[in-house]
Amino acid sequence: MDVTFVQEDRYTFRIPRRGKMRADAVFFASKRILAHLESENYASLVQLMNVATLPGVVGPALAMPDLHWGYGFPIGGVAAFDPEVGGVVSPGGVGFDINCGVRLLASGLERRDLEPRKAWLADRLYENVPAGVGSRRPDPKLNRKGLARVLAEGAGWVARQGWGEAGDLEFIESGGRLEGADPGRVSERAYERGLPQLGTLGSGNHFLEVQYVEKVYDPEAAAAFGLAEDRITVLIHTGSRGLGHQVAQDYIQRFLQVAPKYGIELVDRQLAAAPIESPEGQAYLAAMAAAANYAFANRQLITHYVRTAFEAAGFAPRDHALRLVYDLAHNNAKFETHGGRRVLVHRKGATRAFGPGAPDLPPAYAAVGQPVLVPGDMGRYSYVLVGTTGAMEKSFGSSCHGAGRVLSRSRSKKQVKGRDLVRELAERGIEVRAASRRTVAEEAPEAYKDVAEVARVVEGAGIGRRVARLRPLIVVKG
Amino acid sequence: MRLRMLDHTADVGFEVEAGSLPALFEGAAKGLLQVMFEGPLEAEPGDEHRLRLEAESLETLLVRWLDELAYLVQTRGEVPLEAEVSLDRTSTGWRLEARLATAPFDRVADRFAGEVKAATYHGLEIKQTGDRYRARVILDV
Repeated sequence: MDVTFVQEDRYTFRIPRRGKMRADAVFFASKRILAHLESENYASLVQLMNVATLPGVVGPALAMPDLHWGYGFPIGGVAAFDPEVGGVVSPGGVGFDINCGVRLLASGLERRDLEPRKAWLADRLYENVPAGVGSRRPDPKLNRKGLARVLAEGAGWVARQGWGEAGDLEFIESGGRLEGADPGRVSERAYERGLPQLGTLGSGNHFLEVQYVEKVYDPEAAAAFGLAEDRITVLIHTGSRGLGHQVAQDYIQRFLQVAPKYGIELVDRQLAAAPIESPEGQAYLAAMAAAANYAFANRQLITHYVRTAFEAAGFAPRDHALRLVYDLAHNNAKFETHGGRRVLVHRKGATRAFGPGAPDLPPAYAAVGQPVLVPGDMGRYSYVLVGTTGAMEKSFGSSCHGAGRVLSRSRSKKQVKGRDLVRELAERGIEVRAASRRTVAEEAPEAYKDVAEVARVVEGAGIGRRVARLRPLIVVKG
Repeated sequence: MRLRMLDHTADVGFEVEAGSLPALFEGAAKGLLQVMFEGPLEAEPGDEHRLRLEAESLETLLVRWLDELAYLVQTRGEVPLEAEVSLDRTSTGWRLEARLATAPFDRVADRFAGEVKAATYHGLEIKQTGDRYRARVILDV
C-alpha cells in the first residue's frame, strides 16, 4: 500500500482519509524519524491507517514520535473511540502486556551517597526483585482468593498488606486501580499464570534501574516532582505478566469470532474488535481493568522489594526516603473526555500526558501537569517529561513511551558478540545484574534509537516538555 | 519441513513450510522453541503429554497451538522437545490432537532466552501452494 502524507508543521504529518479509513491519521516525526519510517517501507504508517478503519474512531488516529512497527496497532499508536456511535474496543489495541508501564521513585540520596555502595546495592536489588523466568519469592503468600482481590483493588491491596507507604497511591495513574474491574471475567488459566508472578519483573525489555538526575530542563516542574540534579531515582518497567497476556489471548480469540456478527471488517486479524457497548466489549473492559490492576499491584510490590533492598544495603528508610514520583501505563484503554466527548482512548506503547489542570492529577502536580516517564536504553539515559495543554488539544492527552528499537534482537546479539557488555557498562559506571546474558545482548544500548531525539520531537510538536534526564547507575534485568 | 527465522526490528517470528498440515504445525512448534531457547536442547524427553485443541479456523488453531506450548513451558515447566500432530475437520472448524514428549524446564533452563507473551494474528495466513503449506508467525516477546 502506498502512503501519502502532508506535512502540517515542522514535526506534524497528516495522512488524509482514504479507502476504508474512517478518519485522518496524524503522526509526529523529525527528518531522522521520517527516514527511519521510510526504511521500513512505512509499514508502521500502514498499521496506523488500518487503525483508522475501525468503527467509531474519533479522528485523527495518532502515532507518537517513537512509532514503530507492531502487530495490529503500531507501537506508539493512540486511537479514541466513541461508544455513542458504535465505537469499538480492540484488545490488540491495548496489547498483550495490559497496563505495562513505568514507575519512577525519587530518593533522599544523592549520587555521592550511593557510589561507595553501588555494587552492594545492585546485588541486594537482584536478590530482592525476582527477574528471571520461574524466579519468585516465598512471599507474598497469595492464593486465588487473594489474587481476585488484587484484580479488584489493584495497588491499594498491596499497600494495605503493609507493602507500601501512605501516599504511594496518590501518585499512581487512576490511583492504582481501574474502575469496573471484574475478577470473574478473567479465565482460570490467567489466574494460574498470574498467581506465581505477582512481584516479578519478567524478561525482555522490562527492567529496574537506579539512576541519578543528570540534567534539569524545567526547574519548576522538576521541583514539583521532587527532582534535582544528582538526586538518586529508581525506574521500574513491567506489566501484568502472564495474567495480562492470557486475558489478551482469551479476548482476541473471542473478538475474532464475534466481529462478523457486528459487521466489523478487519483489515488485520490482530485488530479484532467489538463495540464498546456490546456484551463482549463490556466483558473485555472488565477483564482488562482487572489485568491493569494486577500490573499496578505488581509495580507496587516491586517498589516494596526495592525499599527492602535499599535497607539491606545499609540505607535506613529515613535516608533513602524512596517515594513515588509517578506510575503510569503505556498499554491500555481508558474512558476520558476530550473535546466534550466521552471516548475510549487506546494507548499502545503510548503514555497519557495530561496537561496542567487536567483531571486525575495529584494536587501537587495540578499546576504543572502530569509526569511522563520515557525510558531510553540501559547505557544512555531516560527522560522525565511533563504533559502539556498542547497534548490535550492535539493527541488526546498522549505522548511517547520510549526509544524504540533500531536493531532486531538477533542483529543486536551479533553486534555485541565477543564483547563483554556487562564489563563495558561497568567501566562506564553502570552495574548490570541480569538473569541472562542473552537478554543483555539483545537489549544492548545500540539496539535502541537515541531517546533524546524522541524527547526533542515531543517537545517540538508541543505534546510534552522535557523536565529532567536520568542516567543509569544500576540495571537489573530478567 | 523448512523453517526460517524472521529478523524484524521490533518482533521475532518464523516462516514455516511443510508438505502437510500436521507437519506445518510440528514445524511451528520447533520455530517457537527456537525463539524460546538458544541452541539445541540436549535433554532427553521423559514425560508424555497429550493435547487436544479446537478452533474455527486453521489460523486460530495455529495461534492456540503455539500459545498452549508457550504456556506449557512457562507456566507448567514442561518443554515439548518432540510433537506429533494430527488434524481433523469438525462441524465447526478444526481439531488438533498432539502427543508431546516433554522434558522438565529445569534441565534446559540455562538455554532459556526469554519469555514469549503470545503468538499474534498479525499477517498470519496459512497458504497452500500445490502440495506445500506455508505460514508466517509473529510472536510478541
